[in-house]
This record gives sequence, structure tokens and C-alpha cells, in this order.
Amino acid sequence: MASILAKVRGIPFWVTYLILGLAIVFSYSPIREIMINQEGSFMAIMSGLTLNIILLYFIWGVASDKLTKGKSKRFGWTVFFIGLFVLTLTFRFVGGLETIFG
Amino acid sequence: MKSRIRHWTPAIIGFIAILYYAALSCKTYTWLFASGDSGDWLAASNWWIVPQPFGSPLYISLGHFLNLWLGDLVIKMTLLLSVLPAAITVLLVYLIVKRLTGRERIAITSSAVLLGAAVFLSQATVLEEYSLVVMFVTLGFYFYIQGKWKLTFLSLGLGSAVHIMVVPITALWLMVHFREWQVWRKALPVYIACGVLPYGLILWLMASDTPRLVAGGLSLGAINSYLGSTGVVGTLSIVETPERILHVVSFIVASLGLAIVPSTIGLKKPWSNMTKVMLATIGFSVWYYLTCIDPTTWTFLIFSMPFIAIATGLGLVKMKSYHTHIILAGALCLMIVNSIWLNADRLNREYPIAPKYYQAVQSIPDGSAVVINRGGWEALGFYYAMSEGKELIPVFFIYAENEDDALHKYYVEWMHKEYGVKGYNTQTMAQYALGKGIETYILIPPTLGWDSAFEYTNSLHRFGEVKSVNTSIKVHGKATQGETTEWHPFWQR
Repeated sequence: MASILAKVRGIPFWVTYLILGLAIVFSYSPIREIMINQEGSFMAIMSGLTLNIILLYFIWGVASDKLTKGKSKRFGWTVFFIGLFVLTLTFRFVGGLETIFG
Repeated sequence: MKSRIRHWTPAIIGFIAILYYAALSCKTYTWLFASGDSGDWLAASNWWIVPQPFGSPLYISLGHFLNLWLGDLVIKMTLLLSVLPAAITVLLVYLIVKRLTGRERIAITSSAVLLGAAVFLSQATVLEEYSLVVMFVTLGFYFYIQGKWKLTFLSLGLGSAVHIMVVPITALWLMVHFREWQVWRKALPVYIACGVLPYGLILWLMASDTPRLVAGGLSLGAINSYLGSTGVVGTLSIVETPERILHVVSFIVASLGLAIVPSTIGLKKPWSNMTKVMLATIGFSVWYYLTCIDPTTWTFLIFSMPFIAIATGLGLVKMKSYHTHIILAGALCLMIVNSIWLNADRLNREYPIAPKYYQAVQSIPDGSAVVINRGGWEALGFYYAMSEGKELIPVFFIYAENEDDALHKYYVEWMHKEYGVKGYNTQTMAQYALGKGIETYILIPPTLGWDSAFEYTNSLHRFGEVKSVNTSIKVHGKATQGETTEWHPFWQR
């Protein structure tokens, strides 16, 4: 991973600017469509299995090394599931939403 | 001579920003750039009513203040509560970067990056609350970098009284400075006074004898129902994730363009507390849009825009000077492109969806009853027409499972008292109105099951005249887990 980042960092600035310039051209039209849309159909799917849970996994992956240093793996996973439980219950009761806990 | 010009630089930047946004701004009622809530803000500025959750007490109070003066309310609110605060925010970014870097040209470049940013520009040119709230957050940051906690809390408090999003942002700032709690706790009462207490106005409006449209009537059940109706945070299904990530990236790339390069350098480790505050604000607004089921919450990305522009300045200091010229040129290109393709004034004339809908509401005969949704852009536009003097009786679509809801009961009470209309749900109230000889219309085509409960003819543009009502049908609307929730205007349903 670090070697990939080093290679990316080694890319000359003019190449980065060129790539970004092209990215602006390609992203401008779709976002303009979203921004000015007053009559097109919007659709989004609501579910108990939300992106937040995936994000929580990601954050946990980053943070677990520091939090569980010198402790058993069981401790780390206990903290993770308590966090997950609190998060979804918060959405369930504070937000009034349907989550994996009902 | 040069130093004299530099002395005037802030004024010149502010003046250019005002001219630029004022020229692009939409001067009539619009739903462009996800500003369909404007109907609610206009109605709440004309009347004292409870607006959509969480109330935005300072914003509607300012709307009332502007309504005291002569002139069109749409123009006044757009120019003074969107264009002006946005221009001040651009100026603040200049002042912040100038203070942090001491470099004039870099500060100008940062403010130009924000000036032309699509997300920021869009909210600066329509009637919405985002420009104002972002101005207060940026002002808070301006005081924060000077270590003035009381003024920081004052700004964040005023921002919280405009939009509830500033409450978690303030909490994140305080988490960064958790260890210095003994310093900022002394200033905390300022925040409570400016940011929390104003919400008492919403409770007062709920308790008062105001039109019970979005909400009305005060009880714990009513408050719970009122606040619960907006709970969409973090509910986006993972199925939607790839597309939403693509949208987030597209919005950031198309808004900031080449400035992404110096801004990432400006936010590089090691992180000072100031950088952490900036990262927390950027991260929170991106997270909100990334995980929210409501596709129109791209507008919340606006909270990150001034901070990315500031980070651009911090990054440019570490880079060779030619980068500043490249980024400035890129920002000017985006300003020119956006003035053509995201020109709200021109776009609203090209696609006058909201003005046409408003005309349709105005064409309904006075004294008629109208069966309509309680929320959504159409309903909010309907409230706006009512607040402007259109005499209509709102009969809301209420699903069977919501008939015991506290807000619904308060509304039924109000309908009887205000218009003499009796009934306990949509059909019984519509039938009562028909029985009394009141012309009754319905928003067409009705949604999810309502079609079978009403017999109507297409008599007016977007509204049908109700001929008869079937009261034996129970219409349910509760979405179950994993079910698709559709977000689109009524004429597409």
C-alpha cells in the first residue's frame, strides 16, 4: 500500500492537474443534472443494512490496532459490537428508523 | 499605491462576490438546486407558523423582519439571506487565509476557489438557509483561529439557530478541544443563549393558535411526531453506496476542480487542532450526504466548501508559486462556466416548474378545499400561496396508521375550529366538504392507494376536481424494511 502511495505521490503535478481537469469535464454534466432536477424521478433505497455499518467496520479496522493494544482480540470485538448496537439503536429510537434491530 | 490597493482588497472581493451572486440569483419562486423548501420559508416569513423540523428559528425571524419592509419577499430573502451571507463567507475565507499564511495572492486564490464552487454557488443564488448558516460557521472559525471562544460560540450559536446541523459541528469542534474544557466551558453559556434558547420560539408557535400546517399543537407526542418526521440520517442502503460515492466525488471534483491538489496538501499530517477542526467539519458534511437516504442532501456538502477553500490556501503556501496561478486560473474558469451553466436566474426561466405550479394553485377558486400532502415541495408551495392570501382549505393525505398521531389530532381539531370541516381522516373530511357544497380538488395523480379512494375529473392543471369519496377504503403508506422509497414530484408518480 505504501509503495503504491509513494508511486502516486511521485506523479508530476501537471499530470494530476490534467487528470483533475478531465474529471471535472466528466463529472460536471451529471452533477448539473442532479442540481437542476425539479421533475426527474429520485430514488433511494432505505434499509437496516446501511452504509454506516460498513463505515463503522472501516473505522474499526483503522482504530482497533490502537484500542486493543496489549488486550485480547475478544475485547476489541466486544467493543465493536457494543458500538454497532448503540449506533443502530440510536437510529431506531432517536431517528424513528427501521434498522437490523427492528 | 500597491499598499493602498491592498487596503481595499477585502472590500473589492466582497463587492465582486455580491455582484456575481446577485447577477446569477433567481428572483422568482423556484425549486432549483433542491430549494423546494423555499415555500415553507416564505410561508413562515409571511405567517407565524411552525416550519419544517427542526424549525430554523433565526431564519424565519429574519424572514419576518424583512417582510416588515416594502418589496417582494422572494427577492429580499434571496438577496439578503442568501447572496449577501455567501459574499461575506467568501470575504471571510480571504481574511482567514490572509491571517494564517500572510500571503495576499494565496488568500485571493482561496476566496476565488470558494466563489466559483458549484455547490456553494448554487445555494448562494436561491432562497435557502444554507448560505446564512455557513457564513456563521465560517465566522466562528475566523474567531476560533484568534482564540476568541466567546465570539466563536456566539457565531456557532447563531448558526445553530439557523440550522440544526451546526449543533453536531459545534460538538465535534469541542471534542477536538476536549482537554481544554476549562477554557471553553466559561464561554458555553453564550452558545446556549444564542443557539439553543431560540428553539423555544418553535415550541411557542406549536402552543399558539397558528395555522396547523406542517405542525401545530404542543405535547410530547406532537414534538416526537414533529421531530421524528425528519429522521433520514444514515439510512441509505449499501445497495446505493457505489452510486452515492460517485456522486460525492463528482460534486467535490466539479465544485473545487484543481484546488483539490493544494487542499489535500494543506490537510496533510501532522494535524494541529485547527486542522482537526477543519477535517471534522469537512468529514461530517461529506458523511451526512454519503449515508443519507434523501438524494437532495448534496446541499449539505456546502458546510465543507469554505474549509476546503481555506485548506487550499494552506496547501499553496507549501507549494511553488506557479501553482497559485494555476489554481487561480482554474477557479476563474469554473466561475465563468458556472455563470452560464448554473445560472439560477436563466435556469428558472428555462424550466419554470415552481412558478407554473404556483399559478396552478392560484387558479383554484377561493374557498375550495384541496386534498394535498402535508409535506414535500408541492405542499410547501401550497402553504406559501395560502400565506399570500389565497383562501383554501387544506385536507391532508393521512395514512390509516397515522390517524392516532398527536399532530394529526391537533390538525383535525384545527380544521373544525378554523373552517368548520368535520371528520377524522382524509376521506371523511373531503366528504364533509363536498356535502357542504364546498368545491373540492385533489393533487393528481394521488399517491399510493389514494387513487381508489377518490373519484375525480382532471379539471385544473395538476389538480382534479373531486366528484365522490369512498370512505370505506383504508389507505396505508408504511414502508417496510428494504422497500423502495420514491422521491419524485407528484406529476411523475
